Amino acid sequence: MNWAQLLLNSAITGSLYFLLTLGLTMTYDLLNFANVSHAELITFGAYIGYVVSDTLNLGFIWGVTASFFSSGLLGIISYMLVFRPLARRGADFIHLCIASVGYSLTLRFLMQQAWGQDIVLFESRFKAFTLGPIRLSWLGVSIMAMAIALFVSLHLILTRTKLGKAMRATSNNIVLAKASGINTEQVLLVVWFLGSALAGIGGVLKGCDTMVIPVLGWNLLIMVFATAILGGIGSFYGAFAAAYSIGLAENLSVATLGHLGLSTDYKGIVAFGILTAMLILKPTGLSGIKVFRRTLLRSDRN
Amino acid sequence: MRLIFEDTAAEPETCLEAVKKLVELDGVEVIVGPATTPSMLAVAEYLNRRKVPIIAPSASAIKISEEGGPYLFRTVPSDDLQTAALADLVKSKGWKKLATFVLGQDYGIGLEQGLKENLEIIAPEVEIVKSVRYDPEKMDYRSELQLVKDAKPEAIFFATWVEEGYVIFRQALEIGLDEALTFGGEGMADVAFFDDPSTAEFMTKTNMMGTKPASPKDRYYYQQFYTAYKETFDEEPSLYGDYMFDATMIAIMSVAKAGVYDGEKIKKAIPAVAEHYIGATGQKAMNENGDPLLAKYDVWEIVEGDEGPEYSFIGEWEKASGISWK
Repeated sequence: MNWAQLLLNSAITGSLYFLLTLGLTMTYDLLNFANVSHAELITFGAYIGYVVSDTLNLGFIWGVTASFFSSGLLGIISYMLVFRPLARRGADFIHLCIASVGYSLTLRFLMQQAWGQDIVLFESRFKAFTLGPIRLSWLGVSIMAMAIALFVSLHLILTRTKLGKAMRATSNNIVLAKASGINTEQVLLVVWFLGSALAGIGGVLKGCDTMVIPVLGWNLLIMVFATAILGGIGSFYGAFAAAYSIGLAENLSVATLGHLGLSTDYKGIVAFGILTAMLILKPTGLSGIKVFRRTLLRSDRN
Repeated sequence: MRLIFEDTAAEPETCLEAVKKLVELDGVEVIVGPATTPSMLAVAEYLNRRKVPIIAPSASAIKISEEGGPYLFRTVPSDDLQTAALADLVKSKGWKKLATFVLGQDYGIGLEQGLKENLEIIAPEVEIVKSVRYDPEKMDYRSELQLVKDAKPEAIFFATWVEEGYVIFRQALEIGLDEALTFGGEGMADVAFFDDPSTAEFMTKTNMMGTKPASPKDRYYYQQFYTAYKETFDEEPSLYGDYMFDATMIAIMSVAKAGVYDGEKIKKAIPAVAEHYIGATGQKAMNENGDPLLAKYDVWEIVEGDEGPEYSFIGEWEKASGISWK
């Protein structure tokens, strides 16, 4: 077995999972509900990226940039039109989850109307090259570089800026944050924008690496939730570690199943086996953060 | 006669819903379709219970003959014949080390197993160095393709649908899996693959060849179908367009023969109609499983034509005589 190649493939998979999970774990942490419509932000980012880079022929960099801002904007619209009004009317965890499922389906059908059911393929613009025992494309390099760059940037934002402090304070105790003069509403808008924008970037990279279909985000959602839970909901560093762990587990399981002559359909057993074991042995996830905190919703009502 | 169209979206659940709607709400007593094996198997139990026959134009898996039941018919031959043709192709090419990379569902698994069984009989010296059954929803196949690459096969057998095929062949090209030759069944003989330049490059580079159910293109009935199709749609018939035409014609003629619009009577009429029917795809007499008795396969390869890659027909396969090269 070419272990170097397997590790590289795992790193690419892990980088994508990190990008896709980050937004979910951030909003989950602040609003304390699982936003299923996160899947559609991924898909939306992929379609916008395709339109800008290939249909309008403006290039891939502009495609990624457009995805970032469009998905971010859609995230804010979703928050302001759907989730904030519900939260203010006293909707709890389960109401918001179900609302996000309905909203997710609405967005998906709108995208189906706009782009159809057929698959959309990005133009092949990234050449592959050989580096010692491994083969790699520039897209793989871009995906890993993007994940690392965002990890470092967000780390700096969280630890070195006022906004980061405000985000951490809001996440920790929104009532206290408000009392300390932090504009928590503004923080929430920033988090929704950033989380959704990152989902859009993840979507355009995943779409370029594979293909774009209306269920692109939906098909990834289980793995995204698995990564968020394994990392510990709300933990930025935990999500990073979990994404690469799941990426490695997935690729190792494919290699093992392939050697045993079994269908790679069963790969989920390995990834979810790890997740189940983690939830039994350490339910707070890799980061050790408590999964169930007091919620924005309760504090908002207070 | 009224045709009612429903879209199965190539999803078994959607197909079953559509079939139930046709039978329960529209009162349909004979159905033509669906395109894929999982969809065909999903509706089998319901249609056998409701006594409504269905004629499939392209669902070719062996499992349909084994588990389908009396109300399922096909105009496309079962893959047990195609895998014999593919095994003959392997033998005639003298390949000794093979890998298989197939869809992890009945269609792909049936082709993989059939190919292996036929090779054991006619070419036991052939070694299968790696078999991969992929998950169609995964959409990232680098690790699976790497397993195949590490096994260093002389030729790789592919059975994919077009959608995942784009991703698989793009990634195969990316990881450098273009040194082996490739071959496949009728699913790989689809011009839609050429819509993606990277996919087309991989298929051309690996000199992909394979088999597909043949239509007697020089015969009057095919010509008649072809001309009418071109005049109506102003494009070439798609893969299985001719088999769909024959399935529809047999359904219509069976209703006429039954004399009443009743599924049970139409089901009894189908084999009798098929016995004497010669259509665009040739004679359609059926065996006890509702599968065509006679089948010919074209042997094709992908070549670089004046306007890009194209399928070139290089031979023909029949059970009795094997491959005859052109």
